[in-house]
Amino acid sequence: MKRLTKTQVFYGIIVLFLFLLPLFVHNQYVIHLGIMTFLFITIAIGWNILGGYTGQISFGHASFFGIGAYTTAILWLRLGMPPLLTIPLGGLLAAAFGILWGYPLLRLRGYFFAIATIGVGEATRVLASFWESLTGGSSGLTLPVPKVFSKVPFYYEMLIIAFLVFLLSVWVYKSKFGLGLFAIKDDIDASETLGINTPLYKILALALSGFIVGIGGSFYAQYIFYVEPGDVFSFEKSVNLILINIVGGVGTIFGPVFGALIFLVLQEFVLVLFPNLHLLVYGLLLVLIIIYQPNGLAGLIAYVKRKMKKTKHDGGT
Amino acid sequence: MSINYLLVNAILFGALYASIAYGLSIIYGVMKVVNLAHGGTLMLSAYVAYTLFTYLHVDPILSLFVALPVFFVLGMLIQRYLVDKIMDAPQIASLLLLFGVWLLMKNVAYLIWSGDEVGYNLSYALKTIKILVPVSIPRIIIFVISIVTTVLLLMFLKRTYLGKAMRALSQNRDACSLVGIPVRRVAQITFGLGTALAALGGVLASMIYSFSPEFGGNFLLKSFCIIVLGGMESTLGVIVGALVLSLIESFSILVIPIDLQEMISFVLLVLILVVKPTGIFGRRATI
Repeated sequence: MKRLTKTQVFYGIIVLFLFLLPLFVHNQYVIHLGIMTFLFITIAIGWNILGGYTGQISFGHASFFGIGAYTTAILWLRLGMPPLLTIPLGGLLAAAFGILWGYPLLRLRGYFFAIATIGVGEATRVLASFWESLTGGSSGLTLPVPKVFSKVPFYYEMLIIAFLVFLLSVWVYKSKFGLGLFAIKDDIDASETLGINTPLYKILALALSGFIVGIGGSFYAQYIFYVEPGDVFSFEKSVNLILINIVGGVGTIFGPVFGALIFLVLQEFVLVLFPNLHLLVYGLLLVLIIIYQPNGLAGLIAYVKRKMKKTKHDGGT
Repeated sequence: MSINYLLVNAILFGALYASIAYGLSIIYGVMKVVNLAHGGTLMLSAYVAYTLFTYLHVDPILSLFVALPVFFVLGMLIQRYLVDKIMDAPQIASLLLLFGVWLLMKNVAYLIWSGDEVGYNLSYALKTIKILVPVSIPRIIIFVISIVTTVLLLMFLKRTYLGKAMRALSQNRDACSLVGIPVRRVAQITFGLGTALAALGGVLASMIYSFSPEFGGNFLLKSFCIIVLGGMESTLGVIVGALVLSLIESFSILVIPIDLQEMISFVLLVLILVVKPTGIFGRRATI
């Protein structure tokens, strides 16, 4: 048997700890925080695959989240499908929606794509509020809350999803597909010359990204028991995904994880004290990070590690 | 609803849209930076006009004399201390940076004016003049100021040294340094001018719309749609783009539900980006 490295043992302990947590912590609020953290990690990873790996910044990912949420709500309410089964469908529908708008829009480069995605997000929200017969309009849909309700099953459900999505993102990062995505980010013309099918790669990245965020949305609907366009399709949701990734480190494996943790700590503990200042904090974070540390926390950690190694080598001189 | 009404409406809105889009267009044209803080500037300047009117009874037209210099300086500062630091980074960095600035602006507005929807009533808001159909006075004032702005802007860009330097910068930045144009200085002034123009748009818009700190996002998208329609870099293109958008919006009432009107600028943006990314003129004009 191969010997495990120190880091592998460390990660193993963390995962084990997370799985055992509900056994000895019965505080519903802590469990809720865990669920939200896993949810944010999941959808931030989804965004990162398109925005971080491929370099196509999207301001419209709430559309995927909303479609996932509404898929679950509608299938559950109207057709009585068991909610768990609707999760993959929510993801698939979001992916299909991504392909639908990605096909024309992914031809655009840089900014143009980014701005067009603002439009995608807004248009989807407007459409969702308008299409009342399907979505219940802007008042939303309320889902049946079961009589006995525990957060623990949701905790495990979301933990497993987040874990799998994380492994998927690591696999993509290391695969040939991922290399292609990073090549597109660095220089799309050069990667085309090298024989990468850039339109296909970009649309696959978008579909995968949409799929993951769609799954998150689908879970969210089941957990909150209520969906409305102003929430699940909101511009703020899209912005949060960008923020989490910028803070954590765009295009890194751990970026979305760090980012989601920081974001939740900020939201739940710091900003409750200053409820009027959350945009100010987000704005300042964006401005400072972009100017001084464009690779976010993950970049900072890598930098410090490099520095420490260097001083070790230089030791004594 | 008569065709006359829709037509007059479209032309009046076209002028307003153009003056809202100039700021975005000039900054993009010269610096190739999409100023996402544009929406925030529109919103803040609307509040400035609102505050001056409500508390000091200053007419919004007069408040322009306060708002424009203030926002000019603000724009210069943003360029000098923020955007300039990342001019060498990938383009997308400036987009995210300016998005951060927009969030800051929103929060400032929430703190000062709260999140309530506000507006103000001009004494002459309900008086009308008949031009084919009755048109309210504020909308005529907006139209006239837009036209004046357009003429001044064109003259500035064609005739003055600074205007020529900006146009040169939009064509080739490196060559400008070579011939001794102070590139950074011109970039700062451009950003100042673009922000001041956005403020002009915001003050004009505040005369007929109510607004909250979230105001401006919609107009950002519209402005972007307009400059894409007009071929990204020309002042005349902005006018044509603004008219096309306002005509389509105005006449769309005949065929699509009003709730879906918000989607028009977006759909148009996507169509033009995909079908004819060089704008309706089909070639890149210069500013």
